[in-house]
Amino acid sequence: MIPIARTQQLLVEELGEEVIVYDRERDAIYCLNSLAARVWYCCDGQNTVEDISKILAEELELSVSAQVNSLDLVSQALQELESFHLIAEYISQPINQPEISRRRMIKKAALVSGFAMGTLFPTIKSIVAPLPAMASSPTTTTEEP
Amino acid sequence: MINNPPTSTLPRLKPNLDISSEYISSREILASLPCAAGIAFISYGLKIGIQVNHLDILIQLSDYLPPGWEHSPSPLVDKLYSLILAANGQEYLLSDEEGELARTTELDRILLALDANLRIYIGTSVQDLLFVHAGVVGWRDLAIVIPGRSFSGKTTLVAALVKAGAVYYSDEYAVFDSNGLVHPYPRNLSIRQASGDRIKTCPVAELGGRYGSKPLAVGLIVSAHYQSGSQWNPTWISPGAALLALLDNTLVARTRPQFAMSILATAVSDTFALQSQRGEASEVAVALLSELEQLSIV
Repeated sequence: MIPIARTQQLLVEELGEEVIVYDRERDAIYCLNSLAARVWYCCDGQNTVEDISKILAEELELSVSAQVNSLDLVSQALQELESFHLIAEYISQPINQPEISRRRMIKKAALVSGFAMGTLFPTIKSIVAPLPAMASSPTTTTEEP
Repeated sequence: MINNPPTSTLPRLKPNLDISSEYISSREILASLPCAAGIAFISYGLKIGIQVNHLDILIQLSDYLPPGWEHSPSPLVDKLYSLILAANGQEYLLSDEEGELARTTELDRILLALDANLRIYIGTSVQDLLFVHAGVVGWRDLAIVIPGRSFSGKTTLVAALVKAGAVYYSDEYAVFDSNGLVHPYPRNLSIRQASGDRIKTCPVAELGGRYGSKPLAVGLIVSAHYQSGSQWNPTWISPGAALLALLDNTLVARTRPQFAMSILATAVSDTFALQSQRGEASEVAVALLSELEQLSIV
């Protein structure tokens, strides 16, 4: 099974190991921690869930007997990403991608590599983008007759 | 610095303007006002006009204009408000080109409504600065930014920080430039009275403080909501969580998200952020200044 990250109607801002995503369809804003971001960037239509698990295991230096199973981490991350509509679909065969995209993915991987133990679990925080009146002091002064 | 209204350039007042609040739409009100008094001013590059029909309104208006406003030499404006006393002499109405914004029997309330509408207009219309609803003080040439919604206790904490020695920047907006630096929005502090809905404005000098003027890099972001009886027990939050806290209080988060995210990412990229419920502001203020002092030494 090959997950593909959603790319449409999203604005992405990288912030150290974290990634901020603005969902234009829902006016929601997500903050992906380093692990969630790493898994998301690996969802390029080339990697199976097992491939992503291996990538994470190598980068996290998880041993076979480690209490934290990289496949579980990837599954957990994908569930989180799906719940926030950041996975477009799953396919059975890798999609053809121009080489430039793969290079870009590797560059992104470098940007978000180097996990700290505190971020060993994938988490996504979210807010609804506020309307101007919500992000300001009250304005209405109308008295009932 | 608040300037005095340039009364010599105002049009002549038309004291017996016949406007009934019940039957005349705001557009008609605006159309009927060219002979009334008014003021045109510039704030953050925006040209704003306010028309009035009563001298009492005009006299008090300058206390409610945005910080740093300057008289505009041109009567042409980007945004036009009208603030009128209805013909019945009992109701004040605030309108813009789109319609009625507020209506009340008390002049100070209608002026507060004008103040709030001006802030939103400026915060959403200025193109090269980002306005985040937050309290801001300066300490050791770094800014402490306290984002939060109304009634979260921002002003109380800002006042406590100023009393503890910090330089006052704002109790309303953190104004970020494209380099992520925070500029002052130096209006008087708006301190809510015990009932919650009445506001007393307080010049920073009354707190023994002073206004900051130079742009500052962010040293500390504080997500602190007042909860009676709470203990200050802060935990560090990630830059991403800090950016979310700022975006949650950004006026153009929805309309110009890329602009907002880019500036805030720059602002938080090399800073620290913490969050906690808070109780008494004075204790928290001392703790925050001490924390920032230690961080800046490191």
